[in-house]
Amino acid sequence: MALVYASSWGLREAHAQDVSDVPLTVGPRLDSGGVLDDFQPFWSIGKPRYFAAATFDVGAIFFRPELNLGWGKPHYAWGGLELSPQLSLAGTSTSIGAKMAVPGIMLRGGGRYHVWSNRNLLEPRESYTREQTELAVGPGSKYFTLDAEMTFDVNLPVGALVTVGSLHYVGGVPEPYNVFEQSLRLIVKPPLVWRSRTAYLFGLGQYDTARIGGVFEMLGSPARDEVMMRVGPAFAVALTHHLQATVVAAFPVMTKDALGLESADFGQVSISYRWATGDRWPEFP
Amino acid sequence: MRRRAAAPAWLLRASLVACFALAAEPAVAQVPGMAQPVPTPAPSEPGPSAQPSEARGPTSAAEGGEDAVKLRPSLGQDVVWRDDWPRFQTWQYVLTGVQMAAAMGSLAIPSGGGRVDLGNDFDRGARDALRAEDYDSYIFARDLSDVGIVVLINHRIADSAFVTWWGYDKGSVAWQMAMIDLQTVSFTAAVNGIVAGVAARERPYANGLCLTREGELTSDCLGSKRYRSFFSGHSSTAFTLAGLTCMHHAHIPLYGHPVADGAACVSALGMAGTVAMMRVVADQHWVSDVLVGSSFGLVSGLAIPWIFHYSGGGSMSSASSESGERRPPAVTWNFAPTPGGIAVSGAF
Repeated sequence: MALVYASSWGLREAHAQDVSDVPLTVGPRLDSGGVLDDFQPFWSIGKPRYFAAATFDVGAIFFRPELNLGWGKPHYAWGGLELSPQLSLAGTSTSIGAKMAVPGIMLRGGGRYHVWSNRNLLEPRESYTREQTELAVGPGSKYFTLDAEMTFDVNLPVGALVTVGSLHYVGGVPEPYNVFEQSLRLIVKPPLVWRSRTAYLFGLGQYDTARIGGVFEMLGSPARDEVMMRVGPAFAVALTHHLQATVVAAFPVMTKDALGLESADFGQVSISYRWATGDRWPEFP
Repeated sequence: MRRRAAAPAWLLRASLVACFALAAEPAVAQVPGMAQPVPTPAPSEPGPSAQPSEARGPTSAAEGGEDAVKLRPSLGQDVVWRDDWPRFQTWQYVLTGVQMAAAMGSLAIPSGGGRVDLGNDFDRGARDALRAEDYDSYIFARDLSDVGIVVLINHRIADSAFVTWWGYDKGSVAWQMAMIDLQTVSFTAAVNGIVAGVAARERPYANGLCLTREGELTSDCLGSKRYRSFFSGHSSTAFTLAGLTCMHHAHIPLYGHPVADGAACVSALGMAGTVAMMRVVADQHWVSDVLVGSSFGLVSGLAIPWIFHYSGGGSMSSASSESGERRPPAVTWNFAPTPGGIAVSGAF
């Protein structure tokens, strides 16, 4: 699952990251949805080629590398395979899939297996309180998702607009349980869940190396008749061509569950570093 | 390009005192205040600045060359890593990795069902007075402590990434600060994880939440987390982060003015104190867990950057201008024993 951010300079890569999350302070922040990725056209330099590339996303406390094998210009316009394990104190998940990115559009499809040590599957209820989600009475929270995702970014006269839509099939959850989907922070009754995130951001500085704006997100679990809305600010800066820092906060404004901050992302800063073979000017950090 | 105001810190001297009743071993330490910037050139920034700018694309001449296009604003030149401050060494990277592994590995220590019984009337009395009365308040306090930790972590990252790296365009200084933060926090986390795992003290909510019908089946009560009370990881981490904030701001004028830098320190300490208090209100820890954790964390956050890095620069009180004029400290910190613990005071 991912989103992409568009630069105000022009078309750019649709870079994807997996949306994953775990409870507060022990897991990764809610994924920015890619809305803050890619500040510079650095990765557009060079010729298309076969490559291996990676994005290392770290924060408090999670580590989320994404490995890519493909052809094209890494982190810009390419097609190929994606492998993305994720580690945090709350558990792990691993995804594998295919991705294609061209300036302005990104498509991704794949699957992810989740194992969350601090969660249990939830007995069915009409709505949930925080306390009910913390009951350790159901089976452990292990499930898989099949994901399809599409991202568009559009440059506006001022700023840029990014829209991401994704559909997920949740499997491996025995009847009659529901699952707190950590990646989305939404209680889901299988099999389907959808997500839509729109972000508007504008640049600061001569080359828009800082971006600030807001996100609006809707998620739904049709089998539960649940639609959640979240809104919040987003901010990021490009530190080098390979390194950037991002922070996104998204708070629920509409949901039938009463989970409080459990269903929110209150803005953990993460640092992302990019690497690729054939990079003419590698640098660390 | 904005340079730091050259207001003489000693003319702006004001005093503030923040006292924290930290029931720890009496200790007295003096941390030198903010060092005056020395006219040494900033270390060369990392990045592809040495490459031909014409070959680097439209924005690639970020950090070098007369024709370089700046990717970031440069707020000033006073933020420097002094030559006499040792930089992060290879062995420190290794040590930091070991500490991180130890912190993670400590989670595998079996709980043992509570090895240590540190029950005492002081803890019980404080718990009765402070703990939340209902589940919603319990959750609120627990969330607030989590939010506080995130704020403190974000503050450290923001200081390094947003202020120092992006704002001042001093990537190498930011890197040093970030690595010091990582080393120090991982040390605190490792010690906390091992002690909490080995001691396996039962959390106070075992005698509250876990005795209720709605609470007894929660993961808090059924999992190993129930036996990791001593000492408080939130409190130790929060005060480590606050200590780091104070040390960095005491030596590097990140916010460009002693009052602003002092305020960063004081607010971080206040937030850390809130986190620690909320751990008691949320019934997650006994007061003694929090006091030990806070004390350990604060000492760690102040001592590690000082011992390995900032002590190399000498104290602020010995800093001299190029003309030999001896300048008083811009920020000073003092720790003194009190009947209830430690008093922390600062002046700027």
